[in-house]
Amino acid sequence: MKINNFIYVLLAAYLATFLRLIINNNFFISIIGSFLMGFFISRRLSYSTEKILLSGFFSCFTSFSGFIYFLYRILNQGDWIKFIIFLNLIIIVNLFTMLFGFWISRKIT
Amino acid sequence: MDFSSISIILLGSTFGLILRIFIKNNFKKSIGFNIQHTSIVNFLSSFFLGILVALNFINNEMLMLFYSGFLGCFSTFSSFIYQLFDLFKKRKFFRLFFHYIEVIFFSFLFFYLGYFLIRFF
Repeated sequence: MKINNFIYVLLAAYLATFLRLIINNNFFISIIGSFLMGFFISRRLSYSTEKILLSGFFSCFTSFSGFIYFLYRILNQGDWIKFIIFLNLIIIVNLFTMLFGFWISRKIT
Repeated sequence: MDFSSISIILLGSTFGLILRIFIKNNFKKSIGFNIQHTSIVNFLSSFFLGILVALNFINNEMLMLFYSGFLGCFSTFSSFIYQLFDLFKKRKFFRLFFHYIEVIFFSFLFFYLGYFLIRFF
């Protein structure tokens, strides 16, 4: 990877980090991230744009550790049924949001 | 938010990004059953999160900044969803279900590994 390209990835990551800190709600962040990622996947992107968007911006915008921590707090209350419902709900909602973004992007072009 | 906390977050996110790209470039083969580089990153980040939870990171400002800077940039939820989406598009529903169970199971395994590592020693 060229150094010039790497700097763009870093700047996208910083922007994503501050957006995540400003919104500060894990569920909305994952929904927005999945939708936009589905939207951009269906376009034909160049190699550097794909690196900047997928590897820099969206990966830093959504965080898996926040998701695990949210599940841990539910599990810590001893509520197994709520834990399983939330786990499946979050992943299925995100998967279908990404499909929806993909579909909309196909429809527009 | 003052200047020093912002600089700590920026430093943490830089290290997280570099470490993730390094893992992505160097672990391309799948080991045993279907573990790819995104899953390795997520397992490692849940291991670190277990350590942080055992250290009670909510009351410690330094560890909180480490959580939101380093771990937020190191772990990636959208790539995990993208893997599921890729399997969904290829209509491999059994592989999708298996991958889903595997990632959640191993993440919590690594999480509690880190948690009890700090708790007992």
